[in-house]
Amino acid sequence: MAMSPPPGTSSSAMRNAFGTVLSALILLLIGVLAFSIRLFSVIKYESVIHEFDPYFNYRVTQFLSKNGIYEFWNWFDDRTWYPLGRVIGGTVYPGLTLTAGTIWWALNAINIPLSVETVCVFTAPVFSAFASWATYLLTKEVKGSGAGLAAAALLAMVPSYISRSVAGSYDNEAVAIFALIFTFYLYIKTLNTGSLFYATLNAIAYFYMVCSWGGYTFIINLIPMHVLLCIVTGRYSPRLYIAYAPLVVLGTLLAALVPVVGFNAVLTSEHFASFLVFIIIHVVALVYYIKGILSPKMFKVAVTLVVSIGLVVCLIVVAVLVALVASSPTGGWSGRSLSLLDPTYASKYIPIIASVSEHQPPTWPSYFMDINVLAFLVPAGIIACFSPLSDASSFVVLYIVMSVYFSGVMVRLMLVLAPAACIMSGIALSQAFDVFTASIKYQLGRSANSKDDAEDNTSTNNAPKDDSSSGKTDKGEEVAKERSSKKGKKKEREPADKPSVKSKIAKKRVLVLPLEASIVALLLLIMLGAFYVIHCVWAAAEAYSAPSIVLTSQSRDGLHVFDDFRESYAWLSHNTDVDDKVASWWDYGYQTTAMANRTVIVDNNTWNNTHIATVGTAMSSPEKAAWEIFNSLDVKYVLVVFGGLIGYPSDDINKFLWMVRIGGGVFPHIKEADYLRDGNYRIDSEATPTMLNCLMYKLSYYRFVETDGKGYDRVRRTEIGKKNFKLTHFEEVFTSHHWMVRIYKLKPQKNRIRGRAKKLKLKTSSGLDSKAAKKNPWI
Amino acid sequence: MYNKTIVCVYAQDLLCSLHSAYLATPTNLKIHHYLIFLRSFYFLEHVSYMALVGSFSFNSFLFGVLSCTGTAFLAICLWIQVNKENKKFKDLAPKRAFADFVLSNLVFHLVIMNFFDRCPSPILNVVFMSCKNVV
Repeated sequence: MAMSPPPGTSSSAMRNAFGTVLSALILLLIGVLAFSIRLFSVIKYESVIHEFDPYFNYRVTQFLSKNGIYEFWNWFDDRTWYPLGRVIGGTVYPGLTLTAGTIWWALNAINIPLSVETVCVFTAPVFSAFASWATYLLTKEVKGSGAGLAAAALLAMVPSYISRSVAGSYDNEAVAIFALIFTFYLYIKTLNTGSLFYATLNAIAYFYMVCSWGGYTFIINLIPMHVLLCIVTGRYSPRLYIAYAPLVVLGTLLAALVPVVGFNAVLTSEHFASFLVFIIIHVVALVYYIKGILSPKMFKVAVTLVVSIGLVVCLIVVAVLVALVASSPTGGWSGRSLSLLDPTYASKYIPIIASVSEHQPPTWPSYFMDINVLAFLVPAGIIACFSPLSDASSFVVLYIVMSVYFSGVMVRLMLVLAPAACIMSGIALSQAFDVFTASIKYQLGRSANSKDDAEDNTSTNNAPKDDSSSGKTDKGEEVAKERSSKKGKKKEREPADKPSVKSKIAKKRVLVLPLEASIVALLLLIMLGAFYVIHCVWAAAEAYSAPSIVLTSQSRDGLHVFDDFRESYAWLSHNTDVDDKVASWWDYGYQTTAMANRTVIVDNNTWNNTHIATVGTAMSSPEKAAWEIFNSLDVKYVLVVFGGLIGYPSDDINKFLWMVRIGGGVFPHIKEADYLRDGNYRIDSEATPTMLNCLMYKLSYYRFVETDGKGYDRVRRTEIGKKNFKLTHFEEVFTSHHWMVRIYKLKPQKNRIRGRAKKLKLKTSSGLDSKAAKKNPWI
Repeated sequence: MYNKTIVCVYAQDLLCSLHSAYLATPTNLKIHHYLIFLRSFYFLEHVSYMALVGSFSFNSFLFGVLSCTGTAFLAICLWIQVNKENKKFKDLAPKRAFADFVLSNLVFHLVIMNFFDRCPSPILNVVFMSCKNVV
């Protein structure tokens, strides 16, 4: 077993080969793990698309697969935002749908007939496997392959990423996170090697990221920040130029090619940072070049000259820029980006952005829920990155600092924090295992050598220690946690066989811990990993697998399944005309168009605030005014979600406050104070008359008292205020099995009105009403 | 006035030394410098044209500006990699550097062709449009 000196190149080559095969096997297992941990929803429920946004993506992918790519680019959708319509080709991020469409087409071309739905459901788990491999590559560039494997294993399971990429969650982030990590990997690779080939690949990967997600602005701001950091800390090198300049030019061009971004790539403030740093890096490159060809004295002269002239020019340019930026009201930033920089902006000015639950700041427990043990390991990883500090590790430190800030602003951005936390924790874990296993091996080796070794502890056997540690750093890093003890035992025979070398080498204080402490620490780290795994599997199974279109609950009689949403969409698609318009709150727009195939008024894209405010006003007005509004929009059916019978908390009555706020933001006659009693929205007997008369109340609680005789609302936990009332302008056409979805039809206008009612109306109405009555023959 | 003369003298010295140092660079690198200078000149010309006439066809403005900067910087990258005095790139064969340069230029021009709006001659217009559709 032992190789006699000279230290066998063949032995290290064999070890290298063994290590490569082992790490490839581990990577494959990590990919399988990432894929399978996301399958809980398919096992527990069924292979169905989840939530709201994925239904839109699914509908777009269906269209793409049926009609081809040119129709897709030119598609004008007239079944949403009636009567405005929506230009799908120009307002959707095409990356996800094109990816899934390509996969579907490729599979069908080789005669594997998977349906579009299956491909859509399983796209996210497949790309999360790719993302963990990309994390391995990225961390390998920063710290070596051991850290890479640890980081990849962590990312495969981290709950925050699982939450947005379970099987069925067919949303942009599923591919975007893979594109993000891959772009960062290519950037670091270019930085490390300085090759223009990787720079081109980097730009192409960045293009894929721009196609996939609006979060690409994170990349185009983080990389310039890192370049600036490198320049300021004196780490400028030609590799930095090659890494950055092609990315900016090619990347901006490619970004401008995507229709959603278009000219925003050069006009909006989100990209200005990249241009600014582009100019700065050119200036710095020029300075270094001149410094290289001049003598130092001349260089000083040049500096003073240039600085005095350059300052004047700079001031002029900055003044022009400031004037340009100040001329636009938001300083050139879009609403969403501004709400990231100033967290209070959205709640003051844009209630729609403030109302989305994913845009709220996260709570402290959600950090622990989403990245669990990594929250402890990240600071250790940051410290490990500083010894030694290279370009790549400074980039990773910057990445995690920025992502921690942004995740603190918006819960949805915890997703961007997850890869950074995994990388840092992977580095930390790998370094920790390094130290502990090295200590164990050293201690064991020392105890085996103690009979040959006449010296004392401090003059360590540097040769065998160095040899074993250098040999081990190749191998030990590639070894997964459970194998470290086995390797330690295998290697301890080698120092024993090597001749004990006197410490001719300068005495190095090697950082070595006592044997028992190292073993205990190793065991504790393994237990930490075990806790992490248990938590991740629990989170994936229990917390993040619910498709939210099907609800289940456990009771004494067994499992109850609430499939009301699909029941009502199916009713709509079978019992209404193809051209009928359905009005509901914007949450359900995507699902209605995808599953019920009916035209809707507003949907989750929320691009037109006034249209949403119109619907919100209609929901908050009394029946007659609401009927007028809906009639003007050609609406035939109104859909309302009601959770009071079964205790479903996300129903429209709980969302009612946003309807009032958004409607009141555009139509001043809706005043929030009219609906509040002591600052609360109430629906019981203490509610305000405006609340008891508004359309939302009436449509939710019509005939509700028939269910249990008292009208007890299980979500609000009170009895309702107005129990027995009739609807005058709407008629109920469908209520689902558990009363979760209720569909009403607008009653047609009366042909004639009885004479007495008309006279009464004219007598008691105000001047305006009588004028309207005179003009409108129907009343 | 005393200061001004000293500054003038210094400026002259500076220019002289710059000149002499520049003459020392080998000829093949000077080609790069010439090309880069040419492209920067065209870039400035394009920007001033836009400032004067207005950015009607933003597409073509973008195309002009970015093609100049793009080819300029790519030439700079090639220059960096080919420069023999650059210690960090000693082990990068010049052929490999040139191949990389060609590849990135290829990708760059593929992309920038998509910004063509229109072309003065109708025949060329048809050619460019068909190229765009292919890409």
